[in-house]
Amino acid sequence: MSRRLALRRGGTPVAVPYERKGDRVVLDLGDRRFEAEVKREGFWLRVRSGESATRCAVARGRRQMWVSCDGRTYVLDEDRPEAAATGAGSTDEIRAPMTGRVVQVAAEKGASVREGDLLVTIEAMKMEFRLTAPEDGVVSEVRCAAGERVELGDLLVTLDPKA
Amino acid sequence: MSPARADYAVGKPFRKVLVANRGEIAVRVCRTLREMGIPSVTVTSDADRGSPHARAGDESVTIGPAPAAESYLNASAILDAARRTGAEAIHPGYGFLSENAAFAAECRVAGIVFIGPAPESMARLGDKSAARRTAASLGVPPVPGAEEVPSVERAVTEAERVGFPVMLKASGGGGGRGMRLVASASEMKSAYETARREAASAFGNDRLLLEKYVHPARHVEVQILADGREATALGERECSLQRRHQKLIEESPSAAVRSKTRNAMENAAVTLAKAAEYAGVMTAEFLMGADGSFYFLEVNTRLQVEHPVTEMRSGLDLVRAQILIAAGRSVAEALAPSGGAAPGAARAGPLPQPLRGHAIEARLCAEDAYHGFLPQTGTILALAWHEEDGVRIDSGIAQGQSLSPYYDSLLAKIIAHGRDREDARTKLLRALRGTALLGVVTNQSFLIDLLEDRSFMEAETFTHTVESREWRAPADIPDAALAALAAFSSEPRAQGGAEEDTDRYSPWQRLGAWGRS
Repeated sequence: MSRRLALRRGGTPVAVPYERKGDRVVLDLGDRRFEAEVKREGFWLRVRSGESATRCAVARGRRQMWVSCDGRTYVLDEDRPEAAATGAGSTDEIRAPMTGRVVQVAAEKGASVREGDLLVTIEAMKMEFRLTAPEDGVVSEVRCAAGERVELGDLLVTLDPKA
Repeated sequence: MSPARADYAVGKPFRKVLVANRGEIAVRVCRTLREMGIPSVTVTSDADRGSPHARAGDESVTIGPAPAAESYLNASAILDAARRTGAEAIHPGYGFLSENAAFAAECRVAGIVFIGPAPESMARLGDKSAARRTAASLGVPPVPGAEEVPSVERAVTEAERVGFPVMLKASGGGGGRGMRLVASASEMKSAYETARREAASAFGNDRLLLEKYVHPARHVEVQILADGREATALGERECSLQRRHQKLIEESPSAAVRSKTRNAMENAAVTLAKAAEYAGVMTAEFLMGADGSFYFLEVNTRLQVEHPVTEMRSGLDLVRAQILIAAGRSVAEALAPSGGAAPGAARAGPLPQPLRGHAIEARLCAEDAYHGFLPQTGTILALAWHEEDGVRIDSGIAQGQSLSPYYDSLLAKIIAHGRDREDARTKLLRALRGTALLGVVTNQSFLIDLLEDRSFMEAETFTHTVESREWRAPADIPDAALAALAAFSSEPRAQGGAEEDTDRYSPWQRLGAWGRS
């Protein structure tokens, strides 16, 4: 196999060696192979394998590949070393789950919190979302303030879990 | 004499109409205006300047910064835009200023027709507390509860009177904002404060009311068209499948509503409309128990998001009907096929054609349905819709568009009409499977799950159905998707690291004047 897909999905590597000759694509899936004919039909890629035919669409974003087949869409991160390093935060880092505005900061530096206690409230698309403590601990850092705009993934609060 | 009357004789209700909304509904209203030969003006916030709705009308005016309070809720900026462009009427769409009686009154003072009910009707029916009182006085029982809960303490007292769990709701709004389910007295304080804040932010009115939580319940609503004297019911829609009190799937007819219940609901809705001397489209919402009994919930004094479901079954254009009624025409004239009202048709009669078949709508939203329905932002990298007879797409998005976090997550509505429920369901599934939207996480896959779920197939749908279950994302990537990725990655143009600029299907190619930010 001369080529290789090097992607990650939700942190799990999707590493698939493959071969391509004209319209034929052969995937090496470890315990088996998947052979298909893939033809571009305008917007779509038509994937035929044996009796089955699927219409897929693929697009490349800045750091991700998007593929949609039969109405289901899958997002895969391109497997770059720096992407792995900045992956999902540990459980004591409370990050913004979406881009929005901070409505209220309940967390105070040095305060003890119980699992489920409110830390920060964010508003996006006119809905409020409550970010709560994932476990008992002490708030070690508060990095946001009411009224601020935050981007997806921004660090808002760090929590030292109770030993 | 309003300027509207001057053109009445030549058949054009207004010389120009401003659409005070955004997204799919602004695009949809512009379509009808074009069909009626009426020039249209759209308004946009700074964040929406390149969006499809900005290009949907004949001209467009930027009315303010991205936050809705400074743009789409900015009454004076919108009235200014109407004056500057010479618009004679304003269509408010849904949400934003559509149920704001003060705005409707301001339009009247400015000599601009508000395409919707008079502010007096809106005050009687649009405010949820007032509507409960009106309904009760007309013998239409509302859900047990209290019209006013000015304090947390009062809310606890009223909740204990009707019994927990209860719902807190914004008196002045709809669409699920400012609504909270409260299971016990200890949850009241936090729920009360959140609901008030959301209500103030979304509607500029933080009054709350309280209702007993009816469970299990179906959400059934009746579409009304009225002209201030007569009112006609256009059947019901069931909208039980909701998350966060926002509808996901709507259909007509409801498989659970028997004709006796339907008649009773339609009569109640007509009674409400007539009592308020209502003119325009109106929806009366009910909660229906498992035994077919129903309580009045609220009235929406505007076009509903899910109005296409009724349009698909009736063959009517409800936006056109709204515009004609706002110009002083009767229900009978508004219901007549386009091309001219039946002369002398002064009284509301039966529908020009009976409601036919079954229609189902699915709301495509930028949210991660498998992870708490969290709203998603991003850039739409690729977009394709499914085309088929009996399938309608009302969309406000385009390839290359950036989705900002400022507004509602609704991207588009996909509506299918079939000869019966199963026909409509399979058509809608085909439409969803034939849709591709890449670059932003949406609920598309989840909508397919819902339509394929046994609860939906058996029409066992209740307001708690969605949120009482755990829905999981498809676990594995299908082989075909990997093959497509492999083929895409090895396409000659995808090599060399400049994909975004050279790919034929790159978003930037279709960006045109919007620029790359």
